Amino acid sequence: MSEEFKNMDNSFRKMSGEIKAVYNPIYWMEMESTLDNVSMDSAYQTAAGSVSVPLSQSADFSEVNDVFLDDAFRGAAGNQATTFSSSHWNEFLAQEKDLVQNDAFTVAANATTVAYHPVFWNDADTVLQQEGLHYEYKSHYWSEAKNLLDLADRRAFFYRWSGVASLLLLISAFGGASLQPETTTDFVSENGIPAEEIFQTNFVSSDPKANGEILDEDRNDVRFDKSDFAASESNLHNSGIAGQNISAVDYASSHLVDMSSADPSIDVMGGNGNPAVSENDHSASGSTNELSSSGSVAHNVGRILNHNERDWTVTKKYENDSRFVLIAENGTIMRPVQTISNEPLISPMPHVSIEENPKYKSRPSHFLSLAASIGVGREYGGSVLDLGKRTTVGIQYRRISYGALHRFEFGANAGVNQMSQTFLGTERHSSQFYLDGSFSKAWYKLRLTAMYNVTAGITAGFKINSRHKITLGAAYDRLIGVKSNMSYQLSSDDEIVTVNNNWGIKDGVNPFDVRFSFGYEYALAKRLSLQANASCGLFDRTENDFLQNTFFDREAGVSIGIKYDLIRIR
Amino acid sequence: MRSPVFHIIAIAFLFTACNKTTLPDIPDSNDPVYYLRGEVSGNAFDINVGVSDATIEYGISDMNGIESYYGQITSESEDFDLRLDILRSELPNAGNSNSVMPAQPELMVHKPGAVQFRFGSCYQQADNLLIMNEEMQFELKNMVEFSEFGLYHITLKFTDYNLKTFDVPIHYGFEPQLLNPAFISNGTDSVCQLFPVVESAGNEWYVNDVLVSTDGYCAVAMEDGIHSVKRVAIDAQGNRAEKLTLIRFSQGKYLWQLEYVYSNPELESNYAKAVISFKKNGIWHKSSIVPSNAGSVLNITDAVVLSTGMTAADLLNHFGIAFDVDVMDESHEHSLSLGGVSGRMAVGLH
Repeated sequence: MSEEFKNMDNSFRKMSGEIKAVYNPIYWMEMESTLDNVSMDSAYQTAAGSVSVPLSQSADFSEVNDVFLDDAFRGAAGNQATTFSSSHWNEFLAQEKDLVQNDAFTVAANATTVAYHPVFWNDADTVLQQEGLHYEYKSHYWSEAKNLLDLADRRAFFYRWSGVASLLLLISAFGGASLQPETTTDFVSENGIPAEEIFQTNFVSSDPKANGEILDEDRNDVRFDKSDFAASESNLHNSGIAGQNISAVDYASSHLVDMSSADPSIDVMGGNGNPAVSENDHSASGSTNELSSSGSVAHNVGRILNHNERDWTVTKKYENDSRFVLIAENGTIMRPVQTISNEPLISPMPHVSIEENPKYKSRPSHFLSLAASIGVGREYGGSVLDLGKRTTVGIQYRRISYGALHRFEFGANAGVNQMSQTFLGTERHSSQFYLDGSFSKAWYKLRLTAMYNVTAGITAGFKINSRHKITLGAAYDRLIGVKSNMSYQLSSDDEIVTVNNNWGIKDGVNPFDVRFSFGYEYALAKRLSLQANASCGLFDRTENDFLQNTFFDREAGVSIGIKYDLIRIR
Repeated sequence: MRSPVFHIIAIAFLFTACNKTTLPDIPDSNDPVYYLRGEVSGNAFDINVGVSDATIEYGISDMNGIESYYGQITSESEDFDLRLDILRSELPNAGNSNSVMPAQPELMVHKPGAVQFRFGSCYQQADNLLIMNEEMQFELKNMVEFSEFGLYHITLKFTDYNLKTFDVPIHYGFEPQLLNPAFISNGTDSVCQLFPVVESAGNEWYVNDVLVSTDGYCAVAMEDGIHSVKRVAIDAQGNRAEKLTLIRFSQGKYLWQLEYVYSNPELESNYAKAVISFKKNGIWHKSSIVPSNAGSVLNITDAVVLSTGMTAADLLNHFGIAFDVDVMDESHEHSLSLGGVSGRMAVGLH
């Protein structure tokens, strides 16, 4: 208890003894409640001023001042005394424009519609697909759009967008081979130095202990969203920053600095340890900070959202910092990088291993898909240049690996395929000569028009990137039916019988075959893929003795088709 | 939305309702049974019955009145028509069926000849003989000429006997030799006695087409007039041979028996001989009119007599055959040479 309260307590006790009044804490509480009552205080003062109290000789009023104006009050009054400085006013006047501008900027930012740029969208789309959050296409979207279009518009719409899709497919097919998945967007700083080089230098920690890891210099709390880890999972392995465990999004977002940090030049996280910018900020803003899958940040392009004073101050503070490149919402580089500092921009962060965290432990994904394809294949019993139709419908299962084999996927497929034939057939004539000089002739003509097989096989795929994939496969075909047309006459005295669309004859067709295939797959959407395949059989699919020819009818064909993922199990 | 059961049933129906006709069972082909290969005047032919439009026809016919077994292979597209006639055997029932045709039948070649009618000691009767010619006119003569072998029926009429006509058979070139039906006769008191020249196992005696006796010797009453008498000689195998002639009685006395005297008494029998006919440009060319074919034979092998199954009587004889023969049309102007012909043919037996 402070000295002032002790004196006050003693004074009250002394007064209580002289007045003969009984101290009750309730009175004090009532008094306390009324002490803050200004009107009561004013009334009390007025009443006190109007009342004249005669002093008693026996009363000792020497200690009144101790009661009401004791040292405690005096000390407190002394402490509360402040001196007004004219510099405060000048400082306010100096910052007034900034404050006003800050408010205006905030209002303008809220009212701004983000400009769309395809480059940003493609990368965001890729990342979102990897996260499994991509829902670019849904069937009911199409249904709604279809309802909105009248019949004439639908046709035009269909042709227009089919053309666009075909063009995109061609571009993708021709350009896919040259695309490097590690290639980042060609952002270059204004001084001509590729941003990749800049940030490969800057983001690799100079601290030998933290080399290859992005760590907070002060070992502060570094937290990541689950989605960050998921998104980064596929990008971390090829990172140029060996062993880093942070996603591109996280990495890019980390350049936003909280001024309240003790060392704002190093601390890239908010003062509370969270990234200063949320996911929505760097994704929806259309100015995503780029980090290549190799781990090099292509550009810390991005709008530093200054929704509060501190952020704006950060911007102002680092606008001369050569390690930052500020780019406006429209993508314009506001200030080029002038120098490359050897000082690490990102401080080492605590090591966070996704693999060690069971919550984020990688697991293979399993897919069950419907697939259908149509194509052409060689006609049996004819020239190799004669082509017939091929159709396949089936289901496909694939397992996407992780870790070192994350680009590979293995699976199996089963289905039914149809092989149309034009030239495949035979005819047989038989003449019976009898001793009485009579004879009888029997014959049939058989034309095999289609063969149906059940097929089961295994596949292995290699993902070039998120959209392009090549596959290898082997399949076992088992004949289940042959469609044929036939005419026959069993004797010269019988009628000619014709049977079309007959399924009762499998003669002349080898009941099994093994096919090997090579394919390419292009992901049109998250669940929908376009497939192109070439396959070649191993055995002669026809029986030459029956067909009375010498052809080696090896299956060979190409096809295109679509695949739709029905089920995905993680 | 249909239930899954509906779809299952629909699929099952689809599978079971599909036309599932299996491949017809076509028997394996066999080689043509009948065929002929060879050359016609240097042009090769290969005719297979049942292939293309080649057919075979067979049966029983007659050649100048003599029964023959024939087979004929025809192909209109190949302009091929070849016929084989094999004259019947003198004794076709020789105890086994293969005997109907000799292993190497000789080609028959016609020779011209004549037959003279004689009346024994009644020489004057020949002066009253009228013979019907080809123009169906009776001529007063006692001899008939033949250009080809065959069985001819000669119509006779006598000027001194009520102008009644009589038909007598002349087996020119086919007089029976193995089973001789010839007989001699005499008589008194309106009784005619008939004696076979060569006895046979069986006999049938006909007088005016009436069977009068089956004995070897026959004595039959005859009124005055000219009577037709026929003997049928029958051997143990049932082969039959017949001889018909005329016998005249007058006032109860036997006058004469008509005799046939051939101009060439050494004439051989033409039974079981063969004739090849080939049709070219619509004209038949025959081997029987080419003298150079005389003595030539057909090589017959592996002859089999069988029933065609149509009826019990439908028999045919099929055999391998090989020959070289010349054929000529009836005008004797065009001839063809069939050389190196071989194959398999059949002839009908009944």
